[in-house]
Parts: sequence; structure tokens; C-alpha cells
Amino acid sequence: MNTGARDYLTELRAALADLPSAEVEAIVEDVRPQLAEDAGRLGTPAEYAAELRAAAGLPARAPRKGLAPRVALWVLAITTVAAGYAGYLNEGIASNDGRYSLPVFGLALVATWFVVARFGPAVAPVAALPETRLLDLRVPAPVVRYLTSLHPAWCLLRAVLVGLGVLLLCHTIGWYSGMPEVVALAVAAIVLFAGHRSRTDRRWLWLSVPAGAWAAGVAFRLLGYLPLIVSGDIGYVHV
Amino acid sequence: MEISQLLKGVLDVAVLAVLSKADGYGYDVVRRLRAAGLDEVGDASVYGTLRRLYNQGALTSYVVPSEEGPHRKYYGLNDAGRQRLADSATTWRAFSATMTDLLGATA
Repeated sequence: MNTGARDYLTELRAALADLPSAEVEAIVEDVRPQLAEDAGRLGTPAEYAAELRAAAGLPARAPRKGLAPRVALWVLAITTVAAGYAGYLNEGIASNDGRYSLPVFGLALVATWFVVARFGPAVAPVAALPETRLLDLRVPAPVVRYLTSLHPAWCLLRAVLVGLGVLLLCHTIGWYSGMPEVVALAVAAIVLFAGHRSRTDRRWLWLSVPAGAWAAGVAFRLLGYLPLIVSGDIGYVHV
Repeated sequence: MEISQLLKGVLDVAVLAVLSKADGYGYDVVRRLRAAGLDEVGDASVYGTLRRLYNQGALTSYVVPSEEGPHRKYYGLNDAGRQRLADSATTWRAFSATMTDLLGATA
């Protein structure tokens, strides 16, 4: 069996995971010959599963039970706020509050990556949460198209701001060797990649959204320096 | 009128009719329905119908190895399936005659 067919069956099994395993195997066995001969007509695994459920009189996909999707979403929301604040704080990050709380937020975010990774590229369990649907505002199509056209530019700007934020942070904590530039570049590259991938694989949002908040915080911080630059005082400020 | 809407009600009978001529595996049934003129039949709908008819006890199934590609799971009518096809055919003929009369009166 080729990789495409294997992937198709893996996703199909996932889309039917709430059914008894004997039934899932019977369904998979039925579709295998067509997958080998004429896969083009079948549609996506999710579409195939939905149409098959309707025709077979099987229940529609039961929403995944458990707290994991909700926890993942709320950790994303909270770490996004924390990242925005941390980006703005910059030197304050080394204060007692920041030093002890921010690693906790960071670790919580990293922990959710392992949870979100299991949800698949569309993070369907999170998308099905009522609070996520509330966010799904009815935005007019031209506005959506315009915002979508801005996305690559935002990805780039975000990566630059995150890189600057890392540089500022390194200087704040007194790390002056040649490494901060390398680290800043590496982090910026990862953020750029995450933004690009998040278009098709929503799991990357768990990196790109907090990074965006951090970038916005850094932008506000830099705006705060503008008057100092204009008045020529910047030379006396430890940036 | 949407053929796909009409199909929902009669796909069971269509699948039973195809299998009454000869046993077949899923994709084979799909192709035979298309060849018979039901172009709009959805692949997954046929597979789903086969599973439902099987789970309701109207079909038997058995596996046949294939020289090229994966093995094929054939479905065939059992007595319950044949009885169901006969009942459905009677219902369909009566319904079809009624509709033909009705349309004949208005056309």
C-alpha cells in the first residue's frame, strides 16, 4: 500500500474512532480496494466518514469527552496574555514576579503542545468547543480576504519583533556575548515557520499566537522608547 | 428535482437489487450502480448502505483474496435480504405506478 492510502486510512480510522473497533475495521476493509484503484472519488477521510455515517445510520461523531481540548484552549489564551505582557515588560521580566511566573506559563504552553499534537492538523476537538464557536464571528468575506492577504506580512513582522524582543531580553539579563544575535535569529526563524505552517496545520497556533502577543508587547515597548530617541536621551537609557 | 434526494430513499433497494444479480465488494457495487445509470450515487453512501444492510442481517459477507491489491470483502443477499428486496420491489412498483398516474394526469 502506498503512503497516501496509508495516511487516508489512518485519518479515516481517527474520524471513526468513537465506533466499535470491529465496525471500524469492517469499514476500512470495504474501502481498501477502491483506495488502491480509484481514490480520487472518495473525498477527504472526514467527508467520507460523515457521508458513510449518514448512510449507515451510525451516530454522528460524538464530541470528544474530556477536559484536554478545553485546557489546551485556555492555556493558549492565558499564555497569550502572559506573552503579550512579558513582551511589554522586557526588563521587568527579571523582577521577582516575572522570574517566577513566566517559566510556569512557558512550561504550561510547552505541555499543551503534546496534548494538541494528538488533535490532528484541524485541532477538531478544540474547534468543537462552544467557546471556540463563539469566537467564530461572522466576518464579511472581503474583510477575511484582506486580512488573509496581510498574513504573510504579519508573519514576517512578528518574526522580526520577536527577534528584537529576544535581543532586548538578552541585554536586559546581561548576556552580551555573541550568542544573543544567533539565538534571536533562530527564534525568529522558528516563529516565521510556525506562522507559515499555521495556515494549514492549526496546531502551530499554539506557538504562533503567543509569539504574536509577545511581538505586540515588544512593539509597544519600542514605541515607548520613541520619545526618548526623539529627545536624544536614548544614550542615557539602558535599553 | 434532485436525483440525490430521491436516491436517499431508494439506495437500499438499489443496492439489494444489484447484489441479487451477483455478489459484489464495495467498489464493485458502486460501479454497477453507476453503470445502471445512477451516476450521482455517492461512494461513501453505498459503503454506508452496505454496512447498514449487513448489520441489519440482510447480507452475508466473505473475503476473497485478490492477486493485485488488497483482498476484497464480498457482500451477498441472504434469505432475509431476498425477502426484503421482494417487499421493497412491491412497494416501489406501487409507489412508482401512483406517481406515474399522478404525473400523467397533470402533464
